Amino acid sequence: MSATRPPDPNGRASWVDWLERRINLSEIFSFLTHFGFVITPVDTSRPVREVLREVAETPVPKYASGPRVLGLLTAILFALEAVTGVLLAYYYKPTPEAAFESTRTIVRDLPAGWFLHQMHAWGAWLLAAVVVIRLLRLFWDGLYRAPREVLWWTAVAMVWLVLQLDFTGRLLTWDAHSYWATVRGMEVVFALPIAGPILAFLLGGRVVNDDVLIRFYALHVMVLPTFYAACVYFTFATLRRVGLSPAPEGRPEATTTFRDHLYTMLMLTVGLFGVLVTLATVLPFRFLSAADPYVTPGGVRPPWYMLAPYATLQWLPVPAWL
Amino acid sequence: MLLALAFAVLLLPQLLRGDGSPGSRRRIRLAGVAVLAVWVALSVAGALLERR
Amino acid sequence: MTATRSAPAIEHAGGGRRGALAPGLLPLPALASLAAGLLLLPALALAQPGNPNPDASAPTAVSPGSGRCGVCHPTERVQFEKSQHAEEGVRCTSCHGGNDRSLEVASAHGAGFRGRPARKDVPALCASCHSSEARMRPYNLPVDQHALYQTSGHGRLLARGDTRVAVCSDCHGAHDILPPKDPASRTFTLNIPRTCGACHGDSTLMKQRGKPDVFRLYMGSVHARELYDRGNLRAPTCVSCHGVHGAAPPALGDVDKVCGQCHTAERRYFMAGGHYRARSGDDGPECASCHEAHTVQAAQPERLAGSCAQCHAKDAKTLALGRRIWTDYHSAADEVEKAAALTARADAVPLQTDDYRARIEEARTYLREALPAAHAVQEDVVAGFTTRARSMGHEVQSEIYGKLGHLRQRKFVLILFWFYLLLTLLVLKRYRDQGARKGSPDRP
Repeated sequence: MSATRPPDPNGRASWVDWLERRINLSEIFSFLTHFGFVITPVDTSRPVREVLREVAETPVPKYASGPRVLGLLTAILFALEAVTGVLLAYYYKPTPEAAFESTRTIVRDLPAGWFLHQMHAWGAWLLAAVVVIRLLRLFWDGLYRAPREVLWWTAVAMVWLVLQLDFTGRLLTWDAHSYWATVRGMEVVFALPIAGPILAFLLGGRVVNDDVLIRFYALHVMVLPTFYAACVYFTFATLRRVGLSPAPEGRPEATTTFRDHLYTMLMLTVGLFGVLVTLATVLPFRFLSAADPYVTPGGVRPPWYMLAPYATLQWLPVPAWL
Repeated sequence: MLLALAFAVLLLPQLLRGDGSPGSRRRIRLAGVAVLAVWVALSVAGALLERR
Repeated sequence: MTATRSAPAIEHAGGGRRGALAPGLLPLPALASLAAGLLLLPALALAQPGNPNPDASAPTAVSPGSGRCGVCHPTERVQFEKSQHAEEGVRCTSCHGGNDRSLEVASAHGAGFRGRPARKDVPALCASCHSSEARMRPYNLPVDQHALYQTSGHGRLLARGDTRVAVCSDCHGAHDILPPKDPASRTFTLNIPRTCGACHGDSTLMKQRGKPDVFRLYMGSVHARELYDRGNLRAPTCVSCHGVHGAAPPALGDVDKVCGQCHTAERRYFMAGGHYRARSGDDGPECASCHEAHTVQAAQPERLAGSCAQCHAKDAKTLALGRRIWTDYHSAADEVEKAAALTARADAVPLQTDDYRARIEEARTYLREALPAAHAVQEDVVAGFTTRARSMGHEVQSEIYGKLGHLRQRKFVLILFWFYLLLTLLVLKRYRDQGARKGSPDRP
C-alpha cells in the first residue's frame, strides 16, 4: 500500500517515508484516537502524512479557553506530577528511618532536587485546586445530567483520588507537620462508620508507623495514579461520545483547527510550567524537622479537605452515622 | 453521614432529576451553595481548632 | 553434719521473729489491743509444723530489737523497728540499759538502767559503738565522727556546757535512725537543709545567738534551686561546705577552697587574678564577697554595680570592669545565638548545616570557659575566649548568609527564565498563526 503511493507532493523524501515503507505509521497513530486525544476517526490505509494533515485541519471547538480548560489542566498537571514523582522516587526510601533523611537528601544535596520537590508539591496543590473547581463548575452548570453522568462520576472520582493522593503523599516526607497532619487525618478517617475499621484493618492498625508508610507509598505511586489515569481516559473517551460541554449561553460555538488547538495546548503547558516554576522559587514550602511520634508540634491539624469532618467530630461526640 | 454525603455527590445525576427549567436549576444551585457554605464554615472552625 | 545441726536453730529463730513482727505491720491504734496478744504469738509461731525444738525458744521469743519494751513503749517500738539499728541487732538495752525480757517495770528498769540519756552524754554514747573500729569495720563505716564532732561548732559549745546545740540524735533521730541513702532519712541529701534548718531556720533561737536564719537564705540560693527545682542530688547542701560531723563555718581565707571543690575552674582563675593577689592575710575579696555566703547567686549585671562598689570607689576605673566583662561576654553570646537561629533558618530551606552546628557547639564551649575566666577579673583573659566565640559566630553567620544569598540568586534566574518562557510562547504563537494562515485555504 505504502510502496505504491505517489511521492510526497512537496517533493521531500524524508525519514518518515523511509519508515513508512516498513511500518504502518497510520495504524500506530490511530492508537492515539483510542485514548480520545484526537477527535477524528483515522483511516489507517492512508499514509501518515495525509492522515496528520487531515487531523490537523479538523475543525474542533475552541477548547483550551474558559471553564473548559479545567479538564485539560487536570490531565496536564497529572502528567507533570507523574514525571516529577517518578524522578523523586529514584532517591526516596519509604521507611520511617530513611524517609526524612532521603527527602532531605533530595531537597538539600541533589542538584535541582529542591526544584523537583517544590514542583511536585506545588503541582499537587494546583491539581487539587483544579479538580475541586472543576467539580464545582460542573455542578454549577448542571453538567451532571444525562448523557454526561459518566463525566460527573469520573470528576467526583478524580477529586477523591487527588485528595487521597495528597493525603498519602504528604506523609511520605515524614517531617513533623506531615506526620502529625496524617495522625489527625487518620483520626478522622478511622472515625468513619463501617469504612473506618475496614481502613484501619487494611492499613495495619490505627497507629501511623512503618506499615502505614509503606502502604501509603504503594497507594501513592502505584494504585491511585493508575485509577486517576483510568479516569482521564474515561473522560476523554466519554467526551468523544457526548461532545464537549456546550458553549456559554448566548455565545456562538467558536471553532478552530486541531492544529491550532495543539499549539494552544502546548502554550498552555509552557505557561503552566512557568507559573509552577515561579511558585516553587518564590514561595517554596518550608522544610521542617524530622517527625517525632512522641512530640506533637503546635498548630497541627489535618489537611484542609479534612478540616470540616475534623471540626464535626470535635464538637459532635455522637456517632457520625446518626 | 460522610459516606452518605459521598454517595449523594456521586449519585447526583440520579437524585436531581430537575426538569431543567430555570427555576429548578436555581433551586439546585442554591442548595449546592448552602452545602458548600456549611462545609467551608466547618473547615474554618476546624482550622481554628487547637488541640494537643 | 554441722549444717544439719544448726538448721533447726535458724529456722526457729526465723519463726520467732516472724511471729513477733506481725503487730509492727499493723496500724497504730490496733497496737494497744494487740499488745496482750503479743504474748500468744510466739506460741503460734512454735506451733508451726517442722519446728523440732520448741523448748529452746523461750528466751528469743520476743522481738530481737525492742524485746518486751514495746509492750509499754509502742510508739518508740514502731519507730525503732523500722530503723537501721533494729536491722543490725542493736537493742533498746544497748542505749538505755535495763532488762528487755522482763514485763515487770521494776526489774525491766532495774540494774544498769540508764533511762533517757542526757543531751551532753549522747555523743559519747553513740561513740561507744561508732568509734569502735572493730564494730564498724564490717559496715565499712568511718570511726572518726566523734572526734570530728568534738572539733565542730556544735561539739565545742557542748564541751563548754551549752546543751542547746545539735547532738547526734538531733540530726539522725533517736529511735528512727535510717541510713543516709534512704530518702526518708533526715540525712538524705534532699532533707539535709531541713534537718539543719530545724535549728538554723528557727529565727528565735538564732536571734538569741546572734546568728542569721541561714535556712531561709539558703533556700533563696542557686544551690537550692538546683537541688529542689531541678532535682540535682549533686547540688551542694549545708554539709557540702560546712562539713558533716565537724560542721563549722569555713575560716576566712578558706572560702575559695570550699567553693573550689566544685567550682575548680573558677577557683583556678580566681587565684591567678588580681582579687586573690590583693588579699592580705584573711582580709580581702573572696567568693562570698560577690556571690554571698548562703544566698549564693550567679553574678548578674544589675548586681555587679552594687557588689563591685562595696570595695571600689565610685570613680575608679575598676568599677566599670565588671560591666565591661559582662558586656563582652554577652555580645559574644548574642553572636553565637544569632548564628544558631540562622542555622535553624537554613535548616528550613534546607541547607547542609551539620558543620555549622559543630562550630556553634565549639563556640558555646568557649563561652562556657569564659565564665570561669571572668573570675580572674582581667579583660584580656575573658576576651581570649569571647573573641574566639564571637568570631566563630560571625563566621557561621556570614557563611549561612552567603548560602541564603545564593537562594536569592535563584529569584534573579527566574527573571531570565520568564524571558525565555515568554519568547517560547511568542514563537509558538507565531507558528500557530502561520499554520492557521497557511491552512485556511485548504480548509473545507
